[in-house]
Amino acid sequence: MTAASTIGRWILSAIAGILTAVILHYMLYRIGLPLKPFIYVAF
Amino acid sequence: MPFFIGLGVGLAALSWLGATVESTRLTHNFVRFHQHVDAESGYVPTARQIRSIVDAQAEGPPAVFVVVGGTSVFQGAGQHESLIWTKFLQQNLGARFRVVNLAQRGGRASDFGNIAAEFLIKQKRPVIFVADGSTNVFASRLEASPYRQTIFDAWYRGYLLPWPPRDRLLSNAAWYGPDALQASALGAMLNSYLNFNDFWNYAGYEYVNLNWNALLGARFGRRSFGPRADLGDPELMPEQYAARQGSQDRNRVMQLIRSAVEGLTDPRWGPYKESADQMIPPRLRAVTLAVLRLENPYYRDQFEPAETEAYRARIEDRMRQLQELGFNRVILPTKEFTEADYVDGVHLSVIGGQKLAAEMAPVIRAMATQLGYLP
Repeated sequence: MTAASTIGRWILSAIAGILTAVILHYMLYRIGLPLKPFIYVAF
Repeated sequence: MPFFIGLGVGLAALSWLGATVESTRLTHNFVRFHQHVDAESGYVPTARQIRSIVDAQAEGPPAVFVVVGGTSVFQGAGQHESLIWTKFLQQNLGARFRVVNLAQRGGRASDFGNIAAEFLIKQKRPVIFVADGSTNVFASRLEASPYRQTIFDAWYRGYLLPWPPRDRLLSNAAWYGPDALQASALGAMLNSYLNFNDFWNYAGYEYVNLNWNALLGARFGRRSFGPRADLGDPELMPEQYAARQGSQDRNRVMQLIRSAVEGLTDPRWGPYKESADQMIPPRLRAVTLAVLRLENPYYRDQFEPAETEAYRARIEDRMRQLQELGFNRVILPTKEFTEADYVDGVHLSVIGGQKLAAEMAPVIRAMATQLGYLP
């Protein structure tokens, strides 16, 4: 395995980690939103 | 290993961004949290957004803050944003006051606008909190509030005044609270470190709304996924409301109002005085103008004499309870309002909003003097 391919795999893994962070961050936001929609009843 | 480094760096970067981003379009042109930026359309504002709005208002010459909280009536449902009652209140009060409308549709005196007022008190800035409520509820039980996430957020960020009864509830909720509170509390705790609500609210407001909602989808189709900043305040102009007059099922509204009046002891509402005592700290009560309001007289006039009597007695009882809790003033300003002052059973028309602003301005001025904010 060459040094270039090792660096390439390292970078790909790091990018996968960053993408996972974005997804995780967004999921935390979404699961915090109310499950039951809040429906305002005006009368 | 590089995967976890990427994960850690990614989370740290997003957390930092969430702590620093600010929607200036929201904060600098703020009128109210309208239907397209509230819980109804799947957008729960954060405590930091509330703080940014207040900070933006603090620019300019010093003034007494008048923070408006409470329900959709004070939020101005029924009034176009250009004719909202808080604009008339600002005009009546003048440049020495700065009115900020943080009332919410489905909100209460204790679950949203109070965050700004408490934050300002902690900063030792002059503030008067004005909040409305009905004979059924003034301060909501936290489980019933669509804005409970924002209250937890504010508490974890240290924006709220210390008040042991409320602090106990908020601190225990994450571990021992009912499910509805536990999820909100744990989410807010995590958010205080990772700032995901702040970041994605910012992204949704400025760039792309990733949270499709039936309210937005039905009205805007593909625009549901556009930036929320592009979705204007949907409230109608007076002539549009006038054109809709008569389209309401008045019998149904009468039933709703009657059931609300008859159901004053309904456990759904929770204990009136105890909820206010638990959720509103005494230091906030001391600068609060508590406003009780009445339903449209078109409906009230249809009460049976016994109902009218019971209703009147209940209002007096509620006002007395709030006074006993130490609210600075408790008033009932809509006593003389007519049918023309309402757009439906409870919400005020533009004319009603103007009357409300005119009635409240002298009370607020008197409070400012009494509290030593103004000579």
